[in-house]
Amino acid sequence: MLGLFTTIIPVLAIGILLDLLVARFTGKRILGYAISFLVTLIVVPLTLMVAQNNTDIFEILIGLGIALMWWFIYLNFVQAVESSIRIRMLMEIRAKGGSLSVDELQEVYNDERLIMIRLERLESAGAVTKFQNQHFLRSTKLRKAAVFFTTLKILVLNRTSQFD
Amino acid sequence: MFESLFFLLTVSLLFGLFLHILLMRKTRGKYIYLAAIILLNSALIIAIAVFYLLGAKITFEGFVIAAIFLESFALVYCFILVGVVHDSPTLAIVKALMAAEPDGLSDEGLKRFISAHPFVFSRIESLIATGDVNESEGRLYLTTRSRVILTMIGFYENIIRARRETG
Repeated sequence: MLGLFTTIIPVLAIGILLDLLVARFTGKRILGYAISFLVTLIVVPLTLMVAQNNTDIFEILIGLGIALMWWFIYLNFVQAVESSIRIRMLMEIRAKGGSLSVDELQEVYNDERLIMIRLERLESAGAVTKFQNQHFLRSTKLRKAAVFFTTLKILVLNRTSQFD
Repeated sequence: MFESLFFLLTVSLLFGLFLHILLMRKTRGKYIYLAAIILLNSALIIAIAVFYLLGAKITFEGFVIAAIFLESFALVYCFILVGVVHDSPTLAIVKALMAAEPDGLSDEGLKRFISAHPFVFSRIESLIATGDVNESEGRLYLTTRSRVILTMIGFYENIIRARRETG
């Protein structure tokens, strides 16, 4: 058991360190995530096989499963810090001395601004185009992501939106 | 040992997920995260009992690994559920654009979409519900917990030299 975790923890630590270094020196977050993911995916099974001299495929699969889940947990924490609306709202309240009226917060974060900023980002990235005042979806990746999460929502909650 | 452990975990996860989905469809998502943790752990305990009765040999070391694996999975599953329960604004826009095909989403349709999706208010309600802010007479106050979280986030942002924009 010790061998499993003495492999996973250092490899994951190296992956996270590489992610932080890439973020600090290049500002490219996706590149950092990809490097840390690949380090985890490749180095954990290799170390278990070569350094630990292990040939038990089930131990390697369980070790890799734990390592990838821990990487996913790390990814979710940093993603929440970097893009969660709730975290941004908390920062806005802190910037105003720790308290803010709901109306003041809604001056900074209102639904129209929230949607328009995202729509502009999608348009500048080429995922959405505007033609004769009509907006059209162009991104296949986003289409697949929307179908995936809607399917999960129907499967788990039996509805298609939190606002249903 | 790891072969038995692998099948024990596979059975536990599938059984736990099945129970959770069944319960959530009945209750429309009530106590969704707590139920996920309880049902996944219950499924592991039941699976261990069944494996024992069937004569499978799992050591104490195996139980520890199974518990670590299952708790990690429960956390991962809860993170995925956050994305399932709360609509992401970007994916909601994508869904609105898909629903408006082939004609496209007009500016008028976009206005209707915005008024039907109160993202900001639902996030404020969520912050109050989770105890990250206290609300009193129309004002929101940071709690000790959220101050600690923000200090940790500030430390992380200093490491990666992140710059924020609002919105």
